[in-house]
Amino acid sequence: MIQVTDHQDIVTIQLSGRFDFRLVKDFQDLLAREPKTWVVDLSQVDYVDSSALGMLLLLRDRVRGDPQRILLRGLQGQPRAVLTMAKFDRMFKME
Amino acid sequence: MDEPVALTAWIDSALAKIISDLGRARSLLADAMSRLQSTFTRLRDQLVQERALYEVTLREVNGTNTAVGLVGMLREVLTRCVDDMVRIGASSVKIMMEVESLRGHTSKVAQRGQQIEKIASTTRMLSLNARIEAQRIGSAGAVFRVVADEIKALANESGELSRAIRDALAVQSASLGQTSTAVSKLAASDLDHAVASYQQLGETVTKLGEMSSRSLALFARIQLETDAAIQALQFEDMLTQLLQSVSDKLELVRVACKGGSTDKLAELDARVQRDAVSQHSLGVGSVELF
Repeated sequence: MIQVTDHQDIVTIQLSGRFDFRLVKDFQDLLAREPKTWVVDLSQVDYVDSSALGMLLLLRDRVRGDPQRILLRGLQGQPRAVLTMAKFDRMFKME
Repeated sequence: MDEPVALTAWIDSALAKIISDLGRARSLLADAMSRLQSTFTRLRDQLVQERALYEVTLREVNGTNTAVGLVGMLREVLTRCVDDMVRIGASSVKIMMEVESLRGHTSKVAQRGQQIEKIASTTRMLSLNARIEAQRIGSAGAVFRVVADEIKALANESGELSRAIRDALAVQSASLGQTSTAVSKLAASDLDHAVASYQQLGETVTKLGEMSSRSLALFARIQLETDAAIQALQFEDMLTQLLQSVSDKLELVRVACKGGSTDKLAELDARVQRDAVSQHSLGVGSVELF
């Protein structure tokens, strides 16, 4: 499940449930936008697979690797364990 | 034989037996001490070897400043595996997006094809009308009839071509759908197993560290105790000297009894009172050598 809000040049992607390959199309549509900052709220996400990591990396490519322009928010449980293991804490700003 | 003489003879005989027993005790003690010392020495040597082997094994498992150990290698393999999975995930998502774009393009081309089919249908209708009109005006419309027939033929050809393109696009769209499904399976790699392996490895390393510390402390304690035992057994000399001194003093008593005189008692008493060994425990002390 994905919900998007665009406010003052900040696009917030609110995800819930499973963040997996089924969201690729939604993410692809999102990548057409060019906000200053992306906020990915993962507080309602209980599972991520490798495609979720791939989508986040594509988002990172979109901002040319600038860690200040993407914020991963509300990580917990399995998503936090997976992202930490994949060393995403070194590539993204997390809170 | 009068009583004092008989008593002296008995004391002499008893002392001789005690002195002989003390000699045997000294000999047995020396033998037991020697065996104990060699056993403890072997035990200590074996312990030193085991400890060295254990330390080598620990270095091989944990690694050193210059070499990666087994734990490091496992971490490296897991890290590489996770990196590959992330890379595959990213590439798969890119492919899925590309496939999705292609499907979008295919759909647009199919719509254009439908428009071409409509145009062909309209053209066919026009050519039919033109033919009817040409027929109506008789021989003057013969040329128009030929043109109308040609237009109809072109419209049919265009319609068939358009249908062929539509069929090909349908096949392509189905193929892209299958590709997307296959790639999505590749993209959906589950990382839970890798996370569990990472956690298990961490827990094992912690347990291994605790076990190593305990084992090394135990090794050190056993070595200390063994060293103390070996050191204690080195006091065997003192004990032998002490037993020898007891024998000698008993011999003096025997001589005094045999002599039956008190002339030299003071001198004998001085020798009996003298301590062969100043030691009263197994701490540091000195041995008076005879």
